[in-house]
Amino acid sequence: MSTERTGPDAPVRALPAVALLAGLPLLAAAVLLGLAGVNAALVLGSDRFHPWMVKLWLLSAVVGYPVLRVVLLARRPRPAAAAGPALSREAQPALWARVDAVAAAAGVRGPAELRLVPEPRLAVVERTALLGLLPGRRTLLLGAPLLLGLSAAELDALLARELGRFAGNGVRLGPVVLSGHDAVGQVVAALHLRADRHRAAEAGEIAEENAYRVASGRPARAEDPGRGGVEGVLARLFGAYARLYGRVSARVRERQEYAADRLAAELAGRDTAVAALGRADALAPLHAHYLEQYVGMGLEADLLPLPGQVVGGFAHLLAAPRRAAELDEAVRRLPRRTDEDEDEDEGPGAPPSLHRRLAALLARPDAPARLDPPPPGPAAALLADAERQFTDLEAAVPAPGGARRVDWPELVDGTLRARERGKAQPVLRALTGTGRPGTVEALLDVLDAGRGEEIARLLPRSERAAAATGRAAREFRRPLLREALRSLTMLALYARGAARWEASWSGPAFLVLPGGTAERLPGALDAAVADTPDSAPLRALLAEAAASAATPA
Amino acid sequence: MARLIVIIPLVLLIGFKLATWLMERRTAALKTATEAARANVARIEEATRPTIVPSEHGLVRRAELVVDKGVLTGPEVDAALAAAAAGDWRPAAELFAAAAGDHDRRWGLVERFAESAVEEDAWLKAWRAERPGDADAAVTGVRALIGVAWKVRTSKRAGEVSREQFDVFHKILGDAVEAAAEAVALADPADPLPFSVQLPIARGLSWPRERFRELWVEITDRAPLLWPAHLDALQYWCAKWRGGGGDHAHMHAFADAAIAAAPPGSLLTVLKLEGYWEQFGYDREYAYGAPEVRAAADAVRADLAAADPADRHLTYVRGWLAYMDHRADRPVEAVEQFRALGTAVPDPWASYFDDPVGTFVGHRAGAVLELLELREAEERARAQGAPTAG
Repeated sequence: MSTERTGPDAPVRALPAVALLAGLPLLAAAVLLGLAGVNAALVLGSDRFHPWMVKLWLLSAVVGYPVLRVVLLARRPRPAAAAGPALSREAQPALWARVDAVAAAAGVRGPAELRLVPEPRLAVVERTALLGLLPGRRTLLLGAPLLLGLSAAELDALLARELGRFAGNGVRLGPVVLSGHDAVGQVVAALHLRADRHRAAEAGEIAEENAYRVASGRPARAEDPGRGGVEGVLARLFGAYARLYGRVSARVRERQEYAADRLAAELAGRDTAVAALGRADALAPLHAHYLEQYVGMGLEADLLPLPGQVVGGFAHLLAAPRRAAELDEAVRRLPRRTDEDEDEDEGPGAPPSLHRRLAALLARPDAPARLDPPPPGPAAALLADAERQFTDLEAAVPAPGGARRVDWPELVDGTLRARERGKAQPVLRALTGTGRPGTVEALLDVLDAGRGEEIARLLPRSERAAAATGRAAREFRRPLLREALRSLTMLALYARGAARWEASWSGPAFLVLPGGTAERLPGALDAAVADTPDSAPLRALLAEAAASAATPA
Repeated sequence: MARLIVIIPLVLLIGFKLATWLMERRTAALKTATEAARANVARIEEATRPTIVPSEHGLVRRAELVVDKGVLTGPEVDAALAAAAAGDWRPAAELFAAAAGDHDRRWGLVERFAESAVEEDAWLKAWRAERPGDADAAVTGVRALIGVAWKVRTSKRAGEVSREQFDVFHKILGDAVEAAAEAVALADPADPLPFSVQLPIARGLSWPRERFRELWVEITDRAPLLWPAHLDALQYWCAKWRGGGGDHAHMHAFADAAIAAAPPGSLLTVLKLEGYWEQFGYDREYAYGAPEVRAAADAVRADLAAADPADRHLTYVRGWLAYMDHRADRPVEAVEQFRALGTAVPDPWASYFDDPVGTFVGHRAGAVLELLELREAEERARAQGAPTAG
């Protein structure tokens, strides 16, 4: 696509796309009415019941069912959103004031409802009818991570952009084309979902039947679960329609996107709009990292952050200097990306990429913001009683039951301790199973006595290690015993209060050990599992660590 | 009518099933018949395979053949090994002391005793504890560590070796490097063994070529013609190891240089034959008849003629020559070497074939039959062509 034809200001016509949108329900109605009419005429016009009438009805049903299905699905497509609690005007006057101000300045109908969502996104969804041809109630979905990561002015810019998609922007029916695109996409998604369900059910049946066939000694059936039945056919048919619509509407939609960006720049200021778009984009991977590495880590030990902190804890991460710098760097790099980077993954009819949109914005002169500037500071300050809102939001999202709620330092320390305890289970079982206490000292006694093999034999090990003999067996054993000894040493250090995991919002957690212990530990472990074992260094290290923990300096 | 609609497909279906069932039964019967026929043919072939009577051709009988991996042997070595297994290291130490100066024999002793210490090293530990300054014990310890490392790794291709095996393998070789440094410190400065013992470490830890060359200089400065060290070094330069880097040029360059620098009778010419064996095996292209391969074999023949008849590596070299001559369709030369081997079944059969004696006997018989054919053809040519030739 060259910029001459598809630039932000190219003249476009929305009519073909709207015709295509309206054409589908019209065509469906025509087909259904036609079928009904033909059937009625034939039945009424014949003197008696003929067997071919059944065939005709069946044929009509085969043709009519899919048409009816699509129309029913397209009538009121449900926006798929895990929405959190609604934020009422009374409870959140500051937030609503910004939303209303932006909607008024943009000249569009504002949302009737405002909901907090856990994902880092901001979107206005409209419950349109008839593939977006009839307007409906608008809901603003406000991602809590964006509230934490954007300033109030940047939030204005994003709001202006999202609401701006519903503004005319000089193209009549432009908003209809855009919401039609959303609606068509939702129908395709719904059909695919149903087709996938059908396929999954089919695959389950085949697997069951094959298990039975194999058990009774017959060859298994081919494991092709088909293409999703009627829904699959519909999904493919309607998918083709959606692609056609996408192509026909591409230029209108592209213009609409650029116009929405422009509106954001006019209302909130160009640089604020650029920063808002860039940061919102860069916050997504950071938030995913936060969920996976921070909230997610505790799950293995059945730990969760304190109520409100699953959502709110993201603020800690954003406050870490390294993360802030990373975020700024990602935002700074965005508009500089070259076209070649992205053109490959842009199909025909795909919305313009973010870096193109940013480049288009930056090409425009900076003008003062039309909106009154909001109070400086993070957007989260607009949210009254944020902690309770975040807690309510978490309650609306399914979470694993039975998890204990702890503060962040305890979550990190507790999880990593639990991980170590898990690793130590085999050696603990081996020690207690042979009538010994499950302590590091007991393992050291075993090693000193040259009986490490008795324990190593009980640890999980590879077939090769188990099959080895003589000195090779000894060498296979050594790393196993060393790792077991390390685990028990760590458990002992935890128990004596001499080791602790320190959470870091800038990177992985790190282990805090009393002075010199970290450097001496590897050598002490090596000595304890050597051919001529020497447990003295490790014993001394344990004793010192216990002493230093007992008398904190 | 309506009944026909049901009956016709049913009849068709049953007919089809019946037909396929009949066909399958027929093919199954045919299959068993062909298999039986094949088995018969194989049995007849086996029974009528041409065979030779070894004694008619100056060869020893199969029952007398003994696999010979080229290791140092002797009743005194066996006795010392038995003593070591029983915990007494002194006979071993005495053998080393008696071999002082004969690096080739000392190397042979290191190999034998290290092999024993790979399984159980209590005797070696006792030796080292009682004579901490004994360089022979230290070198044997290094070689034993390397042996343990390879036992963990196995000699399979890298892809078939597990991560755990490689971790342990590298860890032990790391220990071996330290132990080798200790052996160097203990040994007579003129002793090449603390260096040559490190050659397999270089392979296992993939030393860069520069580091390997440094090690090689240390060895050849002390013993320019140390035969087993050359064979070990050749392996480093093979395509499959770091030194070769997937290419045969380095290996051949090494072999050529070593042979050029050695006097006749050094038996280093065999390096070239092993080089071709490695090359062919790596490329899976077997050009045994190529002129350069024949030339290398002829060079080995000349080397053997010039060698000391008491050289303990003669059998090993003859083995390679016999194999190469046979594969190059030179039955006259091959049978000559097979005869000279006597009861020994050396490399390549001893190390590279699953059934050394069986393969050796097969190759030997093949060479003899080719020789007989050749003689017959010559006979016929003489009978027919005598007037013209004469």
